[in-house]
Amino acid sequence: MASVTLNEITHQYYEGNDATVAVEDVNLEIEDGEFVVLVGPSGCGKSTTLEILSGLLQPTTGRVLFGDENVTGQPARKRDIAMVFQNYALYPHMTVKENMAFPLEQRSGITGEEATDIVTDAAEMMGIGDLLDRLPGDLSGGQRQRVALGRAIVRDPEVFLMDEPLSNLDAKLRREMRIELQELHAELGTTTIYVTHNQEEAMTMADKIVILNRGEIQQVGPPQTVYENPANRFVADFIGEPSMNFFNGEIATDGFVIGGDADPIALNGVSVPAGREAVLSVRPENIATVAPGEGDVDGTVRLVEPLGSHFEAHVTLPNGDDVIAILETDTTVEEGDAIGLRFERDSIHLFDAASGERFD
Amino acid sequence: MAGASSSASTDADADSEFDIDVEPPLRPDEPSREERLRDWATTGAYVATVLLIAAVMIGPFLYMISVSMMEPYTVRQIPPKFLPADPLQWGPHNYERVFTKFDFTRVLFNTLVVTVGVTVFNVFFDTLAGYVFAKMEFPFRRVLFMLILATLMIPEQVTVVPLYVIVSQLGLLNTHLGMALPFAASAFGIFLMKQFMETIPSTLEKAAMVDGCTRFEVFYKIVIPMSKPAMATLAIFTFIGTWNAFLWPLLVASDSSMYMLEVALAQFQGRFEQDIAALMTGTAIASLPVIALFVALQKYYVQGIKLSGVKG
Repeated sequence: MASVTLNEITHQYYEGNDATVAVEDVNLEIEDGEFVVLVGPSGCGKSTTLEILSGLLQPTTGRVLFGDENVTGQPARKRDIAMVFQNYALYPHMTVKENMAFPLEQRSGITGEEATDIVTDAAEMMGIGDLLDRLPGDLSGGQRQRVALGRAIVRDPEVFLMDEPLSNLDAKLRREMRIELQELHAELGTTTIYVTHNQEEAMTMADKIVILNRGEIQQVGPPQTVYENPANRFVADFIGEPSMNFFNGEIATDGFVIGGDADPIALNGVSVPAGREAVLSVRPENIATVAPGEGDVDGTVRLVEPLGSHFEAHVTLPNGDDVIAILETDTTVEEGDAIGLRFERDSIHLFDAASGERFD
Repeated sequence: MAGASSSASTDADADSEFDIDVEPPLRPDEPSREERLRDWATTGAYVATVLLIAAVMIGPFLYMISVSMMEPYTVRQIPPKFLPADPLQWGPHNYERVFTKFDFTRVLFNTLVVTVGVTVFNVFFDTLAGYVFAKMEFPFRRVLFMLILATLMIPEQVTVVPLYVIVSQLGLLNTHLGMALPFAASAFGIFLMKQFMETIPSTLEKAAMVDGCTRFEVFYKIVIPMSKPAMATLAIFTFIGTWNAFLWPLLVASDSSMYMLEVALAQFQGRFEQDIAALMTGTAIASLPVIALFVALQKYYVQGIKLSGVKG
């Protein structure tokens, strides 16, 4: 097992004479045994970063370190890694057993009975012991993904790389496999780097979450920290479901003024000079409904969505902004009601309108 | 459909053993009389169509076999006979004649050597080139591929003279190599292999590289086994094409001991006479290996369908 370091990694694609920057100046420290999730919208550079880690792709500039060893320039077959792909990437002409034994033979030259023993153990661990003689084409999606994971664990590599391994599974199976993956990681303790666009997977599985956008790292940290203290507007918007409410406005001497002539919203301890254009944001669960005029803003309820465990109210403000608030199921709020909304003071975030960076 | 209705009628028979007068009640999911009639009519029409097509395909083939077994004078009778009047006239005499009059064994040997050679060369080179064009990035890839495709538009007759000059200067006239070499790779084959290999997901190759393969190992351990259906198709096309080749073997082989099959068969059609019985006999012998090859490689077609059903 090993720690992994990405040092000033930049990667450019060339199409003719036009260079497209896929990843820009990425610096990342991953500790030994950590479960790190790279998350971001499609095209954010997360899969490129993973391929650079694997050696399938070489960075234009920058260095990749496994432990203290500089592995930049080494092809994938020389790096002590195993990888799991979104579409499973099982060799269709080989049985499950042959698929799982393939990296053993290729990498370590282990064949015959020794390989069979290792494969059988790994298959038992993944619960696919009875599928060893089948072809991938005869397996269900969930079984194929188990085989792909089995093929990754047989060699006991230093680093696991996973490229959206659960994206092709249905919701229920995805949830099950998510838990199994976490248990597997707890058992093996192998450094794992996991790419997904699904923020729920990122939040639940990661020791450390890395949010990427347009090839640049936006924020790195434990999931809860990122959730509670997003570094910029992009992270605030990306993490959380339903996503945060944003209000454009201006910092005034006595608080924050939402566009127009509404009363300022009092702020706690933000030292930003008055007059700056800013964005105030608050999560739906940090909004309480009160009588009109008693909260921070007033609005009209446009729609109430019952979701079983809670309700989501869509409230339209006088300036046309739409706000989502999470309500208890015993709420009496109905569509068409005029209500006030109060924001929890400690949960208000302020971002610079121009740069999107957080004001502290 | 036919199976379902026959089992339904056995049920009805079993019932009627006890209630002879009472018509067995129709179950709601059982097809009515009209529906069954319509099913039979559909099936009947389907079978008739298939039989007709089969007759058109197989008829000439059977006629060829029949003629090859007839006495030469029976063949010339008008109206032509599909079968000899006296079945005892049928016999392998034409086969004996073909093998004695000609060194037909030698002809078959020549044809087999050249055909197998060309097929092996083609599958080997086209697969390699197809992979390179399908999966590798290099400068002028598209231009090179277009150039290769462009050669498909040049008819064989145009290239035959310069080819002849080259082969003759290499001293390869009247040799198997001279007959095979100009066709050792084909634009069509490269195109076929490229198109097939492009459908192999690149994540499979990535997985293989992570699993410890070099680029060439990826090619022969993953891509080649997956490309067997396309390779089989290419082998069949090349085999049949070369087996039936006429123009080039005619030019290169001036010595009758180097004749290939089609050239030899042409000898039965002289300027003043046509030995149709011998011609049909030679053709019947010539078609056997092609049929055998097709039967042997047929399972790869099935595998091809199965492979394409595999996700990822």
